[in-house]
Amino acid sequence: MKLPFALAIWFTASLCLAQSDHNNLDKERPLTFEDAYSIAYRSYELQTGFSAFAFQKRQPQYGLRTEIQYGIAKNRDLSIGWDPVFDSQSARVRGDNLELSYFEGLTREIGNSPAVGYRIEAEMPTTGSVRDADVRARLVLTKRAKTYDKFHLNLGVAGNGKLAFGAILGYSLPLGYPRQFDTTLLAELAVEQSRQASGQNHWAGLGIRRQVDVTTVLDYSIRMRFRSAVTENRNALIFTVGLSKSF
Amino acid sequence: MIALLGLMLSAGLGQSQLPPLPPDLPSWIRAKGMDELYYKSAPYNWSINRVPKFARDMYATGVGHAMAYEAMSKGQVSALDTETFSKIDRVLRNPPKLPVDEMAISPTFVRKYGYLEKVFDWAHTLHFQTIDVLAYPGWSNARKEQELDELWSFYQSEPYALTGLPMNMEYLDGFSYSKRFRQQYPKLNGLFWGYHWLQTVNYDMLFGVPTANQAAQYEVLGERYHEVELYNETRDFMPMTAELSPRFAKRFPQLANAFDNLHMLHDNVNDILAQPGLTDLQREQQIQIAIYRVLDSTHRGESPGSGTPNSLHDHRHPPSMPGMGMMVGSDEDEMYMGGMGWMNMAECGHCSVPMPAEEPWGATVTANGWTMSVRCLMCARDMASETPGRAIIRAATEDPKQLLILVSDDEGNWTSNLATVVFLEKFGEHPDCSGWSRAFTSTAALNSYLVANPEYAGMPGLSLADWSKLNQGKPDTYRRIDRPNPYRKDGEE
Amino acid sequence: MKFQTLIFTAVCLSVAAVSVAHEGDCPFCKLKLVQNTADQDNEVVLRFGNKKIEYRCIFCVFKDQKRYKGDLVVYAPSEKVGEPVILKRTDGKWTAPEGVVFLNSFKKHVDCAALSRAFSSVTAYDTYVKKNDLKETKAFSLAEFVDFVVKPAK
Repeated sequence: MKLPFALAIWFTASLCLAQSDHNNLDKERPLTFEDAYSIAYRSYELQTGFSAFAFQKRQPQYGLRTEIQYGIAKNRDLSIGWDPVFDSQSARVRGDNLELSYFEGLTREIGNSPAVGYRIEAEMPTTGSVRDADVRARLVLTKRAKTYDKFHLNLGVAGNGKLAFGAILGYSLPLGYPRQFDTTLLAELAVEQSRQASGQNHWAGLGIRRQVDVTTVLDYSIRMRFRSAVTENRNALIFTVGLSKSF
Repeated sequence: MIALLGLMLSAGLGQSQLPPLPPDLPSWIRAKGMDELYYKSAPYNWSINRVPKFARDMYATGVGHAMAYEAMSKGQVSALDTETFSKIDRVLRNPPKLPVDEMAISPTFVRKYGYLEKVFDWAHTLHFQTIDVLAYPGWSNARKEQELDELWSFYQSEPYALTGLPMNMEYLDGFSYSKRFRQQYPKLNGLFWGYHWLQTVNYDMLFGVPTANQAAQYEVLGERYHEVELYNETRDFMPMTAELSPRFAKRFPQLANAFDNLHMLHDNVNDILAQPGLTDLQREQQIQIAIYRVLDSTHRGESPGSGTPNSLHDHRHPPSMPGMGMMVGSDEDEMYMGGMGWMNMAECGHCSVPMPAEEPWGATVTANGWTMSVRCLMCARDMASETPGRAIIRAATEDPKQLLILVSDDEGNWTSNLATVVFLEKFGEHPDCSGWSRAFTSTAALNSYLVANPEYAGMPGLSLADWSKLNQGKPDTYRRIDRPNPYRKDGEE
Repeated sequence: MKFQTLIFTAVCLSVAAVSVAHEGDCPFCKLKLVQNTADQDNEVVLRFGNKKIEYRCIFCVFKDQKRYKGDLVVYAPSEKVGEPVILKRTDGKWTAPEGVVFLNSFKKHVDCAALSRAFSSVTAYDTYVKKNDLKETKAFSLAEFVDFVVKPAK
């Protein structure tokens, strides 16, 4: 349990430090999609969140995803994450993999052209061979919709040998402008090829990111997996609550 | 038809006078990345929140900037002094509790002028971190001063950094599009200059001042900001850092100059965006040129005090104030100050006697929207007492580590940050006033001074209440500089 | 001395390099303060607590009085050099020495220092009006003057 301990230290250390922003959208915080911008150069960001997976045909699962990002250069960040899941049906924790991720923002929105970025990540088993690593890549486009709201298209491919493709259409809308400036509403619609069975997974989600102080953003969401290639995962509801903190 | 012809002529005239793009425009201006930068990691970050009302007002200035730029970028100039003003004013009256991402409120502006936003954002970061350092309770004044020097180096490490050299403000405000915004949209321009008043008056509120005594000053300054400065349409020129925070500007001239150059860039951009008849490309080019003029990279290797008068590389400054470039009509140390008229920065604002070269430096008086340097406590008090409204005096004591902060109510009743403060005032010749009018942190300190200066032997120490009641009237040494307002045409008031 | 001559003399003296007062503007009308001359006082001083604030004329003082929440003392220049008329506002009520009257006949505010003044008596008022060849003027009592000044502008 060295990693959680280290993360706890990071988290405590971050309490007196700097700023997260509810307008900047990161994967899994709280929905699956992200925007086409990296975190700021030289910044660290700790993100963590608790998720509950409620199924119709099996006992629930609980996740505690945690990630640390670092802006290694302008428009580039690196992150390391850990996503343990407790399965109440088997009473086991699954989560000995570490996620290593690199993001690069290629261009901001200029004129009518969208912002473009990409992410490459590998999920590395902490036990076993590097050859077992799962590799994923994601192309991200962000474009302003009407005024302050934005669309975010995430196109992904994942696999180790056999490839699976997915697409997420995300939407973000700052709430309260021009009177309030602390909340963003998120929505997503996603489709992906299942890697566990033949077929597709479809889900939709709705979330909120809310700035609670200069350093902290709270997020919460609900996602519904209304189609799943794995029968027992069908009609799952996923509740997430998390926070992001920069330093 | 005549109106259309007039518009074409004015547009044509403006275009023919537009400066061309410089050949050495930095390549980063064309870079496509967002290039978002994080501020310097430090324990003092967000110490601004220790003065909550000030922090909220500062956060609101970001919203005000962004909303105005968004409207201008969308071409909504006809509504700037009406709907846009009202929309911003609502936010200023109900300022946000947290800092606001300006880019999120001005998406059109950022899509068009993302490179400009990088310059603004990085300079605003410097603004805020400077405040954070000064508002941080964990460090000594010496450590804070060291950190501000380091912060300046950190700021300069990015290509978006503005120069810390004094720039000639008459030159920077003298292009074919200049002054358009303030003339056409005085209400919105008033807001901009109000923000810049707040962003420059705060540094003397914080610099060298114990953190426990900072918020009390903002009660005075915040009231002035909300009641007058935001809606002041009578200023001739933007507020200058050295005008409003002379102590800070003298100690950190590079920061003061960078803030002034930033604010002038804001004025240039406002003028360009408000100028009718320019194409999108022309606006973009003129904004790039305006950025180029004030970038650190444009002036690398140049030094303060040098340069050809009234040119891009004119880095002369008033001899007594390295933290300010030459102003319209200014001559050596004399400059025209809004609300005060012509003043000599090397002299006491009250008695006109040259400021003492040796320490202590005397005092400053902030009242009625201005800040003036004075030689002594008597000059500070009497200058404040002849000015309506609340006032702040920041004065040296015998202890360089203890600054005296006096805040007055409307009737001139003063409260002090030093409970044991005692005053010496033996009215005599004004040229010696910095000797016979002083503040001490204790009676023991006063007695030590009296022993060292036998000419004042036997003088009693005055309590704050007794000292407050004194008024020595108008100094016979006062020398009025009788020159017309250089910003106005002959006879214009 | 004609009125124009009076104004000219006052202006010349007020801008002379030997002037001993701050350049300052009137807190109300924002015009430059007019300084005392050898034969006529012009400086109107309002005392509010420890504050001593100069105004350009008594019209400006009365127009600006609302900003002060407590008691006031106003030293209004009179017909006699060094002997101002002392007006007081106590608990919101204005008082003046018996016999004091006021002139308020300026058409343009730039003339206010010469044409908005206090006098210790009607006789002194009449002398000033005659000396400066002023037409269509009226000697206001304090109550009339306050009423005239504070009423809303048309």
